[in-house]
Amino acid sequence: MRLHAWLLAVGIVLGASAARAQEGTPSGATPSSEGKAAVHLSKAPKLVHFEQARFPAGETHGSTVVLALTIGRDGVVQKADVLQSGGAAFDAAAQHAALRFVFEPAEIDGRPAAVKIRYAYSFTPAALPVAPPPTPPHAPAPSPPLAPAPAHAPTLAPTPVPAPAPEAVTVRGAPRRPGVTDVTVSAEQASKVAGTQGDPIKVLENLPGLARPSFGSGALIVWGASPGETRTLVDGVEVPALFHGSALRSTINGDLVKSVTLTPGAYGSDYGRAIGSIVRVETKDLPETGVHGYAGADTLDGSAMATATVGDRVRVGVAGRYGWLDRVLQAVDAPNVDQYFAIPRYADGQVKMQVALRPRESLDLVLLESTDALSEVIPDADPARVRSETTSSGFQRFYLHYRRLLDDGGYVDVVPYFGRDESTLDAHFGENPATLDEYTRRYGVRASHRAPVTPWAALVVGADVDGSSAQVFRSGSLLIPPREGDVSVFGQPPGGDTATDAWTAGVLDVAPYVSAEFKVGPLAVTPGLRFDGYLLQTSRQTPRVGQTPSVGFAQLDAQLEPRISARLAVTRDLSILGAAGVYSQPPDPADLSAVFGNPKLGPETADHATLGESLRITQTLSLETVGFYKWIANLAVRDPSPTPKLTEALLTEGVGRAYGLQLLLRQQPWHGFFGWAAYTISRSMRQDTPGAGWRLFDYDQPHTLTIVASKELGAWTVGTRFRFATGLPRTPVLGAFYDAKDDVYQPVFGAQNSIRLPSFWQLDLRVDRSFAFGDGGRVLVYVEGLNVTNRANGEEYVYSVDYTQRGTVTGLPIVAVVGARVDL
Amino acid sequence: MKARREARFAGVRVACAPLAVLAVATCVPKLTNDDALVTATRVLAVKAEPAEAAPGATVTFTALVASPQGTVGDAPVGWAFCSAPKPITEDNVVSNACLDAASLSGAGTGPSVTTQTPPAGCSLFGPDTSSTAFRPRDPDATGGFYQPLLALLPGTVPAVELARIHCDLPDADAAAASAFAASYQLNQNPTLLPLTATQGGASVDLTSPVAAGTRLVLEAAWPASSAETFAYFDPGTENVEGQRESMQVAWYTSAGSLDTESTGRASGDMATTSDDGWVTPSATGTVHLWVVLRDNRGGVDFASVDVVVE
Repeated sequence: MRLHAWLLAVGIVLGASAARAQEGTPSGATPSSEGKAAVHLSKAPKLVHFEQARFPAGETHGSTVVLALTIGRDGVVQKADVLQSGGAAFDAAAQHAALRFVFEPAEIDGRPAAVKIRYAYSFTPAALPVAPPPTPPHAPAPSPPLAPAPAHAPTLAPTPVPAPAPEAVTVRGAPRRPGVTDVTVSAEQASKVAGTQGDPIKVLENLPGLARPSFGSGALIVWGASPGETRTLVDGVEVPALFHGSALRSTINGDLVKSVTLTPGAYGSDYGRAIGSIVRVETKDLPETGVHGYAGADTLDGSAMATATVGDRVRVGVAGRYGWLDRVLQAVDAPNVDQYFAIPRYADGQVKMQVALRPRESLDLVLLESTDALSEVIPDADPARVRSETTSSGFQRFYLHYRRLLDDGGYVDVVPYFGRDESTLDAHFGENPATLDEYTRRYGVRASHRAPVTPWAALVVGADVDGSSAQVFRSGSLLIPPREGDVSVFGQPPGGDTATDAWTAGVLDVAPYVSAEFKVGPLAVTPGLRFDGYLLQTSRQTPRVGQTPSVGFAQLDAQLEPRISARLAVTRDLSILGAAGVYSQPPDPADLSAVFGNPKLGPETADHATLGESLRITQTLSLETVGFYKWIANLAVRDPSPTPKLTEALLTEGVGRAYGLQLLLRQQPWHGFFGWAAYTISRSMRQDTPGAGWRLFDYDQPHTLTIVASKELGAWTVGTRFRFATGLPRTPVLGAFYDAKDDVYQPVFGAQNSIRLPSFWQLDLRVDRSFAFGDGGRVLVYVEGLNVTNRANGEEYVYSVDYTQRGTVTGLPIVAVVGARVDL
Repeated sequence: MKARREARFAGVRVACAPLAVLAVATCVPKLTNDDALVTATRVLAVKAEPAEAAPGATVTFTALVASPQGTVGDAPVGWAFCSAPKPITEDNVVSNACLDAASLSGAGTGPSVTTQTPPAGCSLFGPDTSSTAFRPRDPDATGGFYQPLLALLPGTVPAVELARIHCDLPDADAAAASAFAASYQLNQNPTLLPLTATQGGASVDLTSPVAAGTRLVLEAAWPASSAETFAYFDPGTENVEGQRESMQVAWYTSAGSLDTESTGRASGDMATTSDDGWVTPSATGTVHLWVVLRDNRGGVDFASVDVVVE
């Protein structure tokens, strides 16, 4: 820790020369949310390998050389320019040694970034008392001199030079990143946003491009894409859900999260299997010294995390969370609460071990586990009208993350993983049951190698392999669970038709990819090419009839997916950025049923294109504008024919388009204040079958606006969040008929998705106060006021039993959430 | 897949989540949901006799038409069979097209009609397909298929009767089909026994005047044989199993208030009665009560009672 502070002290950002710092550094796209604008350095570079310089032969007096070190995002020193000469021999010796330094890379908003620092190298004759060279915890001991030292060989000590306070350290320039549409929020910032209750992943709902789903669904609806078209990844490993049931909490402990990145579209070739967007959660490094931890609790759950070091090379962290809302409700004797609230019962746990191998080489071992259960019962004196729904879900992931930084500025990155997903649905509508159980084994590996080719170009080659083997059992109506595009109203019982099927489905995607990073003057271009080779297998290609042996089905499908992103620095403060690409994703194993779906479904595909600008207004304030267009094809949709073919309940005939414009005005931390305003205007349409009319996408939301602000006032932090969203489309009910067999009314619908729920807006406030105690301990207490104006937001339409009246279910009233945590 | 799913009725319920500790029901709008109060003429039930038959059989359909003034014995009900099969995209019991005249064929007029059901029922609404290339239609949870029949009464919403038709088993091998054919008994309409009432545990004679504003417990009963056990082919296990009917009782009144509009007994509940609370109106006069007993294979019986409130 002491060294960290010391390096911060010597770190000076050379604003005016920042662009030069990027010269010779092959750089891809720059962050769209930061652009070329000055951005905040969230982590200073930290020296992990110190190289001793030789004392120049023949020199008898000491000297000091001030260097400007250009440190790549991989932590390797790429250039060592002399700012202040100490003499030719001293300059050469200092440069020689400094070019062999290795740093933990600097970070901008939680991501590695190339920076330039000033570094003073002092040469002192041995006879003079000097301080030893700095040795960071867990860093290897200083290397021996490059050559046998003379008898009077001096010891060396870097000497700090005056520098601004760490808070004032900023960098100019842009780190290389995979997508120009990325928006990243560090966990530190995210956990301070009102409405997150300190859970950094919950910040996602405040990012530009996201539509607001129904309250509590946790669905990620990005740029007009269905929730199932967005992939959520933790350290590059896909997980099925980032949120527990009812979206009260995320499935990853917030203290293990380093940053959250949303790429709403046009992402790079290193990711795939998502025709919508990518959400990446990066876990943070564990503390390097001592034993740390926290414990927290509120009415929803309790959580804790502990970390410790084991020897010099191993760090271990364990975290867990257990939900107890159901017991709280029982304790307060909430009457019949499960009639109105799907009570979530959840738990999650994480284990992370970090092993320092050789210099510039590391291995992380991570285990993630999450479980969820929801149950809801609506009792009735008539058994035919009792409704119940019980769901459970969970996942496990174990992965290794091996990373090695190479001498030439490249790296090798390998992440093998395996795990298990599980989800069950057991619903009863009277005596009509519906069941959907899925048990899936997941495995795969991600590997990439970056190699600088020239000072202005680098090549990244990699492979992204993912496989799954699912066992699925389903029974009940074809319309349970519903799909996007289904027309129904809240509370409407499904038709009584029932079917049953049990099958297995395997999906293997082998995707090698390559991308190049070119930077020529103000233009940075990253073309890429990805090949997704899908092997799709199902155990049955026709429904089961008696004891007839099943005949499986397998198909190969290949998708060649070119992608490109580019950034043009028009001025120092203004950049034009764009990206485009072709994307695909395999069918859902649950759709490969010969009864409920179609075992011959192929991948869904999409084309993305974006164009925008990034403008730096001040050192910490930027404005980004991005226009987007997406064309989606081969969507799996229900066969609308009254006489569908056998095994073709689903067809890949759906197409869609989404387009819009999003603006992000973002204030990076500045005197304890940060925030952003994100506005998106968009339109998303679907055409279910060729020749059919276009309709609004179920989640089409033309206007979304989110304003977030937070300000530190000493030990206090106050924050606010305002959200506005157009209501989601709904299909009107024009009338009804009476079902005399079941004694219920059935709705007669108008044009699909031709009306909307009322617009939503909500204002939230947050205040927290931290109290320090002991040696580094802290107690944090927070209060969040949700919907402080007590606006009655309409969340859904409901109808009277005969559909002659319509009402609106409203969401949150004003609610206060109080929580506390203790950090050790 | 999970991300694509939406709970059918959980999504909005959770909107009340934070209210759970505070005041649970304030987020749900108050709508008029008293379907048990007959305030206008309408069809309450349709009874088919026989309750289940092969397509093409002669069946008598009788509508129970009620009005605030009592049972309408001469209601000009227009009957029409629907010939439009339901696409799997429609979340309903019949196709939307069944409400279009183009898909309807007249079957007579009057409160009761005796007619031949369409012979193509098992291919339009059942598992029969013109070739194995097409998908058989799915049965309901009792293994049944139904011919839609509209009962159209001017000034009211259409009533759709689903007449159970007997078809072959879909997706069953010969052994299971044979076992099913040997053991399956066509559905019979249940029998509703005379309605009884109690007040504070004491029997009340409904043929005598009852006091205004009195709370009575009405009891519907049926013979044990009305809840039939029938053969059911379970496509999951590929076995023919026995399944017992569940019973539903729908309650209607022209005045006063019923505790609930329907009650019943689940399949495994061997009780042969079901009751509902009724508070007689404060105004005096004759009040009409209707009780409809249904089994879950489409069998129906109904009765009406006139009660003098004084």
